[in-house]
Amino acid sequence: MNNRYRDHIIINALMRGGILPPGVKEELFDQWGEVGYALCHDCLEGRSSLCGRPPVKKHLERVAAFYGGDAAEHTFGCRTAKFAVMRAVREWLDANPERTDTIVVDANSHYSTNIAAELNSLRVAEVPHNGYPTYSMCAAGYEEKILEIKRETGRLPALAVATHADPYYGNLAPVEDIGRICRELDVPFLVNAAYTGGVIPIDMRAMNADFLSVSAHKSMASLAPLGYVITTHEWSGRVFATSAQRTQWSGRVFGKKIPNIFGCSIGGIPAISGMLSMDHVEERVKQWDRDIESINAFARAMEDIPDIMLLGQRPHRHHLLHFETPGLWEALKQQGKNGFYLSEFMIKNGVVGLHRGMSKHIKFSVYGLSQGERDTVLNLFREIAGAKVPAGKE
Amino acid sequence: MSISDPSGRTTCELAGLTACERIRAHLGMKHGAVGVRFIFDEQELETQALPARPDKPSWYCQMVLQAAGGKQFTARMQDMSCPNSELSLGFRKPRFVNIKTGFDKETQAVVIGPLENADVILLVLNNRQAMTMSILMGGISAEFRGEVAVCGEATAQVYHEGLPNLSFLCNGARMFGGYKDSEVVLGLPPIAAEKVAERIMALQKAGGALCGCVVSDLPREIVENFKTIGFEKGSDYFFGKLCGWSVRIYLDKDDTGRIKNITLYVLEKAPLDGVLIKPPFSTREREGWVDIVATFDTQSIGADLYSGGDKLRNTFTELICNYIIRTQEGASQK
Repeated sequence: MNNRYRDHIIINALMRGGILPPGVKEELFDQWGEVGYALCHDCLEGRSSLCGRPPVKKHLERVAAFYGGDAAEHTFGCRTAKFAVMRAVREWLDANPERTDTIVVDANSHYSTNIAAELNSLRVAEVPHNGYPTYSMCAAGYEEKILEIKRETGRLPALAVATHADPYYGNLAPVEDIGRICRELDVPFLVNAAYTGGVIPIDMRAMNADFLSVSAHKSMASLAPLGYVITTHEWSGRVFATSAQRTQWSGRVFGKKIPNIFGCSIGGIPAISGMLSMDHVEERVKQWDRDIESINAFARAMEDIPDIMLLGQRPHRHHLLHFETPGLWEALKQQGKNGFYLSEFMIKNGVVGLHRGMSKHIKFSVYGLSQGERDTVLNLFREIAGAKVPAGKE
Repeated sequence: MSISDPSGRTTCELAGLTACERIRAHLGMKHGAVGVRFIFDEQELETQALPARPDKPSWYCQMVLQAAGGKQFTARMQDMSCPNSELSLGFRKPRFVNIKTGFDKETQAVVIGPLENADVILLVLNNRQAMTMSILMGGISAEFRGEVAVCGEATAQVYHEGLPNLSFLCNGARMFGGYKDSEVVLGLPPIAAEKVAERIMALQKAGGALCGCVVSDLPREIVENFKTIGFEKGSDYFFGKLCGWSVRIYLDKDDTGRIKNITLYVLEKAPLDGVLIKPPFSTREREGWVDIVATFDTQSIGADLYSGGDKLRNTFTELICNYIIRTQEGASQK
């Protein structure tokens, strides 16, 4: 069983922020890669997040501090982090009849936000984006939607959720402004930072966020599945409440387990990869301004190819780039080739990550690639579009 | 895709999974699909490997329900308990009743169960499943009298007319056939079953995002209509060319998600030279780009998004060509 793409340049926007830093892969598999429960040898308390050796507990304190929160737990990915928050909110609703079971969510949300809501029987009210070609979210839209719900039901929504960088266009939502509105209107606020936490500097206090969900395998240079849920002291008792059950016949109790994260979370390689990558992640976010500048330069070079335009915010503020490419689609059609040709052409030339079958639109990332690798990607797009290198940009 | 044998019958096979299995999985049907094949030639009964006859005479509708549970029968007239089935399935010509059966030849047997080479496919559905089938098929006719139902309305009529028909069953089916009050029977020509299965496959493929989610709810009719005027669907908008301009069309929604306005875009790299722009078009700058844009109420410009066809194209052409004009200087630059 061989990995066909082992030596390819990866441009999948899902993956670029999750690639392990140099040296971690070797240490990870050399030291820890033999057993599934790699961090559980010295577990004393029955929950991986409480382990002192290896120092998972300390790592989680570090993660919480890194994001400006008070407490963190590691999860089976960002989706379970959101599930944990919504589960806690759902339980909180029982004691707060002045809240509706509706949550306010941006129209660019990742599907797992909506699934987490569905799992917790929370209704979703959408805040619209501003449509083609930027698809941006506006903080005022949250205010309008919250007040509209209040007006119609006489009650406040249970939660507001904003997708920090959305998975469709790579737009940054104005989370600080949304958070301020939520604080003023007294609505708990969750920021889904799956695409940003570990790439862009984040301070959830500045966002006025009560909860932050992040994806380590998407944006914190870690192996899947791994995410974190970070919250404040105000909410940690609810989100991280331990099991209160006592079984009827055997009398067992599971007092160290946290039901909202399914008791005890990841106990193996993914959690260790997150710990080993933390230094790298802390360092790289400091370079974000430089990174985004070079990503915008790449986007502009792509737009020199005829009939290619970056959708979303300009200048772009995230590494996920979504281009509309009707010119590529037309060129392929004229050559009698279908949408699959584009991704296959790239793979044949050592670049993997374009969504198969798509050529009217393409979505990818060059985050973390060397200049040489970016040039390779760019030149392949030029080649397939039959475009020349613009004068002065050879 | 469908494979037809020389007789023109269809085997109901679609990309590995049979069309009928695909329909059953999609609808969550309790019962399997039942094929019915008419045999008129006595010789066929002797030369072909066919399922066995039922152990004792039975109601046709009852045999259909048993076949929906996996059994198979080759039923002859002697095997029919219900005289109405004998007539409607063409085993016997009516003499004393005024029933039009439509059979030129006398039926020798009906093979109930196998989908291969079936003439008619029968689906036992509940109300919700019938509703879903109707959506998938763009409507279903339901011609029924409550008298000669599974045999007549769902089988013989579909065989003769080649069109699907929904039967709400008859007293015989409800009393002796074992059908629940909530159940109905849909008769389909095999080709219709295949089309439904193809539609289901298309729905399952419908996506647009890497996650496989549907990211736009633009109605299919609008997408098809725009295609006829040379506009392809992008993620949630349309692109095409008019008067040499690359044009994007975005359908704006109101707060409730209904399509309200239509926005036409011509997007040009900045700086924008040699272009005369007249109201209602205006320009907006976006780092490195100039958007020439105008929003219209769909009704005010008389745009029928669903079936406008050429008229719609003419409307767009007039708007773009008369209000965004490349001057000579601009033309030479381009």
